[in-house]
Amino acid sequence: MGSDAGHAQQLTRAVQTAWLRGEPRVSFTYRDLFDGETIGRIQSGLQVTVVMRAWVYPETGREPVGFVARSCRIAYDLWDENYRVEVLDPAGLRNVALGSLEGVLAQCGTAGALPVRMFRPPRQAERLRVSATAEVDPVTPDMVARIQRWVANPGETAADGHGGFFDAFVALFVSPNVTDAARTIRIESTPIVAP
Amino acid sequence: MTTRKRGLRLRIRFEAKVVLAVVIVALVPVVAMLALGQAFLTTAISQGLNTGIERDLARGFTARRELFETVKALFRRHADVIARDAAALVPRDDVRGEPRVPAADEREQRQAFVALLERQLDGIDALARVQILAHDGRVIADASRSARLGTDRRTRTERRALPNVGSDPAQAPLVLVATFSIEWERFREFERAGQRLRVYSVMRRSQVAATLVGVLKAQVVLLPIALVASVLLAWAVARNVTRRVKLLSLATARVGQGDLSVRVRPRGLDEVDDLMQAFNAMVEDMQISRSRIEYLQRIGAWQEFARRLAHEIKNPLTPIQLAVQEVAKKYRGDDAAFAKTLDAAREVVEEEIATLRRLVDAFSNFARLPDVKPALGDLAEFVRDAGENRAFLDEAAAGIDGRAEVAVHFDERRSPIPVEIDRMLLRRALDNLVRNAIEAGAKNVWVRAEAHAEQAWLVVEDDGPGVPESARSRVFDPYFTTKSDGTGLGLAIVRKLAFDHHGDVGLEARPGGGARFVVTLPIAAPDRPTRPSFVTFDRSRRA
Repeated sequence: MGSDAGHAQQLTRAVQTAWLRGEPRVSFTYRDLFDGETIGRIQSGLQVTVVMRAWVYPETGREPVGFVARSCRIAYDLWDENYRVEVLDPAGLRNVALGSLEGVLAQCGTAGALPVRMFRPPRQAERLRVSATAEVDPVTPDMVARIQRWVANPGETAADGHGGFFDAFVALFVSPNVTDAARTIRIESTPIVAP
Repeated sequence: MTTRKRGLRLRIRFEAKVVLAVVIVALVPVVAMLALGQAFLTTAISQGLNTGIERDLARGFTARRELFETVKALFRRHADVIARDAAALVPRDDVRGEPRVPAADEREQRQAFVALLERQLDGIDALARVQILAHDGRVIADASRSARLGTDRRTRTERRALPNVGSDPAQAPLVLVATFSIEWERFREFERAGQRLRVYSVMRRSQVAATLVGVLKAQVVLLPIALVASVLLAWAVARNVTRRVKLLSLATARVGQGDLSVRVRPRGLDEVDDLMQAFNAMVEDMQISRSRIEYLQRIGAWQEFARRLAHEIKNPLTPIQLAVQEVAKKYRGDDAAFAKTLDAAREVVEEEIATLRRLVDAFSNFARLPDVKPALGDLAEFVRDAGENRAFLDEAAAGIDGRAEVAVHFDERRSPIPVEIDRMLLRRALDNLVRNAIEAGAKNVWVRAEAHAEQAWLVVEDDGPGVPESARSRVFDPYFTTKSDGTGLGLAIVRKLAFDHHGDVGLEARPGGGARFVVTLPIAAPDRPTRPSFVTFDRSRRA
């Protein structure tokens, strides 16, 4: 339920960092995101989207100095009995087919040397922290659009609807309310130090 | 200041009422619809967004998934059966009796395989292609249905060892490869079912019940916009009315202060403009009535003056005349010169007394004008009748310094002009007008009746010297005259009689020289229950 977003699991864990040309490459796991319900949904054949967003902050600051995101769209192919995963991260978009759930969890629950795009170069020996949010099925603009169409014209299917003036008008009021995800965890790293 | 305050108060009251009425008319149904809509939406949400429906959607999705599992199991079973049947056809080694790959020249063996595969293709709709391959990949037998291998279908392949030695086809000499297919549309339906479930799940999870209330909020936003638009429109309409009502109010106030020259200018065709036109007509009538009343009051005063004057002059005339006659008669003296002087004095006194008597008679006639007793008549016939009984006019014409050569022409118009007139008094007015023309020195006088819109005209025009423009406004005043021997009462009597007939008399220059007097009378309409208002001489009203 939506209340999950309000009660996101808070975790603190070490984030492995490697620096390359002034930008950190972070490695950490967020497999905790995959609880029993989420795994059940994946195995049922329902498409599940996992989005991880990570911000780099000064250790005591509130303004982020770097950002990276990674998303996985997981769909179990009942016919061919494998998992089709669409991964989008700074390396680009790629599709992989995985034979096991474990492979999916490893692929979509781990950030491996993920390059963070820094808004400014870190100062020497600057102490930073990584704050990440991982979500299952966050409500994307596409999903919001589907809901808007459904609300504006319930007679149409969610996938096929296309609205008019009232559709757009309703969107003004519906969009701000649909913002949470099926499951959310927040990860705070231990401090990392820029070289 | 008071008028401005009254106008302001009027505008606020009227505009507020109109705006309030519009707001009520607009608000009540909208609020009712909102309330009903909210109740309906709440019910719809409670019925539409609940765990039961989500569970049913999930069941539908699960059913589709289980259908795929069932289909796959069915395909596996079909593959097993085909493999079992095909295994029976696998040739055996003559020496050890072990299964072997048919030789290239064993045509009958291969045809037996093909026949088996064709039978299976005929019997299983989802079977698209079936092959028997040697362990090294050579095709031993192959049969297919191309229609079942189209791009609109998705395939699934099952492999079986022939014969089934263990479960690893790699260990067997022959392998059965069965390819089944079903329509892609089944997968798309499955995907859509998953999408619906996801959308519904998100909606319920995201408390879309609350977001649906956003639809109501949208209406709540639209409502004030609609209300503001309604109020502005109502205000504009009301202001358009009140602005003109205020003009009328101000004009009415000026009329109340005695200014009858005020007029308002209608600019449209609605009821307020009708009211403005009616106001203008009313003020114009008031203006006419006031001038008539003032004139009649003045005439009344002059009549009283004439009555007293006649009385005061008339009474001593006879004693004076008798006294003078007595003095002249009783003189017995021998003074011929004195006797002659006495006779001359008597004659002078008698002539002057006669003149005074005529003057007194004129005053008396003016002072004792009888009341008009109108009766329905025909103005054209009245003119014809005056022409046929013109003796009194001719006598009058002859009696004025012997001007018998004056010609009076009466129109012979036949079409009737209904009017309510007192024939005797109107004849007197006509007599006065003709006399006036003759006394002015006219050679010809024309009398005729005309009909113009709601007015009947009795026209008397002459070819005399006319009336100077500077004197025209005063010619109907009592005792105003331009003639040396005139009394100045004739035209005043004409106007008094015209007023008493609810009409008027006007004067204008006659084209070609002379004067034209027009007595205007209201035309009597048989279906008109009451007398019309006063008519005035206005050339613009001429039809």
